[in-house]
Amino acid sequence: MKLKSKLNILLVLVILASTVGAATAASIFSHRIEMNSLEAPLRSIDLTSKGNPNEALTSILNLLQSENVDATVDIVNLHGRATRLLSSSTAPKTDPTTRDAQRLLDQVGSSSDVNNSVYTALNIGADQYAVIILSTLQVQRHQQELEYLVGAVSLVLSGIFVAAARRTLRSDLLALQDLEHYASEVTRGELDTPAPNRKGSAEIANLQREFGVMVTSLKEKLLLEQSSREMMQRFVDDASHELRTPLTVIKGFNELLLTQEGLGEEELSLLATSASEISRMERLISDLLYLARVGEGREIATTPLDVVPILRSELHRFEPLFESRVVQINAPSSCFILGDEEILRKIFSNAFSNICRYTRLTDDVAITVERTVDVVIVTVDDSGPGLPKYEVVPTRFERFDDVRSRSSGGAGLGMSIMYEATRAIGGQMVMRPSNLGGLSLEFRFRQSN
Amino acid sequence: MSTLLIADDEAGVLSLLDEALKRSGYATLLAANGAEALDIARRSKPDLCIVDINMPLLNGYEFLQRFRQDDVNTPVLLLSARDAEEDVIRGLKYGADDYVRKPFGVDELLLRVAAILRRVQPQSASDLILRCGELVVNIDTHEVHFGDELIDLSATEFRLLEVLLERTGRVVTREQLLREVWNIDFDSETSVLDTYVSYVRKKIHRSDFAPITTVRGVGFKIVSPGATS
Repeated sequence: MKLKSKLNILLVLVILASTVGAATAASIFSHRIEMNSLEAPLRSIDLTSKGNPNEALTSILNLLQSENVDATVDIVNLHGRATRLLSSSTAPKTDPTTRDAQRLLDQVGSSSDVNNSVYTALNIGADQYAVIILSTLQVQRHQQELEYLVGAVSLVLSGIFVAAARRTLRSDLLALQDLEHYASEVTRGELDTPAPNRKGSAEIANLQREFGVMVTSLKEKLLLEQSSREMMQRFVDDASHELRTPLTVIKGFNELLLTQEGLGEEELSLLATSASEISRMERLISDLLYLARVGEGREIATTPLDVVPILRSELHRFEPLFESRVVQINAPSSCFILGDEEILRKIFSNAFSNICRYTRLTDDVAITVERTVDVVIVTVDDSGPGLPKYEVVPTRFERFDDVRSRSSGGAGLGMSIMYEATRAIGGQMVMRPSNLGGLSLEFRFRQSN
Repeated sequence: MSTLLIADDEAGVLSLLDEALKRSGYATLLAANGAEALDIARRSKPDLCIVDINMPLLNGYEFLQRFRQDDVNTPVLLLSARDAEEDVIRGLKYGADDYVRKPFGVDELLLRVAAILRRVQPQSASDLILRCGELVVNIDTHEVHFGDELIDLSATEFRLLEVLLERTGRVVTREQLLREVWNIDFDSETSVLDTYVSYVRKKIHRSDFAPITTVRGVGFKIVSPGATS
């Protein structure tokens, strides 16, 4: 929920609470005052000197008249029989006298608000009581009017208060909104977006400043990292190119020597060894160059393409090398992913040449292509010796079986190349033990719709 | 005899190409930079120019642009240590005929040179025919004859024989054969090569004619009858 909405809800609650609170308080307070003033004339009736009921009654009626009190007066004896002396214009139409008076007589002198009336029983002697009934309707009407008035005033006041609060918080809210927008720009990588600079409370100003500092240092770190990555890449690039020229010369002369006529078998074999080592160096350099191109978090532009024909054509290329193996392929006729053809060919040819290098000639190969909701999974399984350990990220130059890989001329970069190349087109490579007994390479590519 | 201009600022490459091309029977002209290359090319009219891209004074592209202003026919083969696709496209756009990446194999380069020259020079039918004793291989029609007898070879067998015959008398390594016949660019333990060599031998060898010899641990070579090996 947005801060602004929360604030609005809070302010509405404040308005409600203060309106209801003020009205309730006013109602309670005014009720008390009005009731007091309603009963005040009765309190000045003094019956102590009066022994005669008629005298007492007369003085009560006189007082009510002189004070202009609109009351109903009944005479009640201990048996509860009532005689109405005076009828109020505002008294309730129903006549509660007998029963209520009886109850009143149990607690003589007190009064309570029953049926919009206040009853007061006064002992006028000779076991007779004057029950004075005052209507509270007027009081209630006043009270209600007051409630409305106070409620309205409080509504207006809290409205003013809320408006003032919102006005005060408005600049802070806007500043926060700016910061939020800025943060999302930064997250999108737009590090050059100018930092927001809106006036606000001290905390907001601090937040803005700290945020700016944070982004600046982030920018510096990124630039540093980028430039060191570029330097590294340039170094590998330059080094590889510089190595290529002397390598061409060495390779060429070795080839000239190897192919000249009249060489003995031993000389030929020595030169052939040197030729194969030169080829290894050549592959190593081109692998390093390739890694510099696709590795280090690089992203390659991808297009939707059908992975199945690419996989099949790479497999076809390896058929002569796989002729002694059982190779199973289980794939739909087409399956579109987001990728790059050259990179996909590199990945598959690496996977297949790994099998040629590191498994026995009779080891089986199983390839499957399957589509899930959002990815396409290509798995290449073999029944070879597998890996001694299954890492998440392959270590460069690590050769899993030293004796074997040396004799097969592996450079130890194949796994890294597949891993980085898959990642460069937004995919993922996982190595795990295969059901066939060897290595299972799983490539997850982004599906294209 | 064809005359070839070689331009590279790397002395090693220059001397390698000089040696390799001379051995294959070409005459050579050498230039150590682009300006010198342009000068020699205009003056001496070579049959083919082999030009490195990264050279001082004039680089390979600049050489091409200027050279092509008054000579559009002489073929130019570019050498480069870079393998970016753009470089290839740029080179071809400026009028290069072919492109070889460093580190190249001498063998590969020689084959490309021969192919370019075959394209631009008036062809004699014999250029397309490889012979070894009574064995006659027509590269154009893919027909193989031993004497009057027509020998039926599969496409792979034909290509294998062709690659071996093109280098008669010289060793062709297993790696080269795998690359050129099967397009497999790495050394691998495979019996496919031996299998195919045995197929070809079975088809072309006679009791008194067995030109395909095995060089143990290295590869194969064709020994012409009459030549001493």
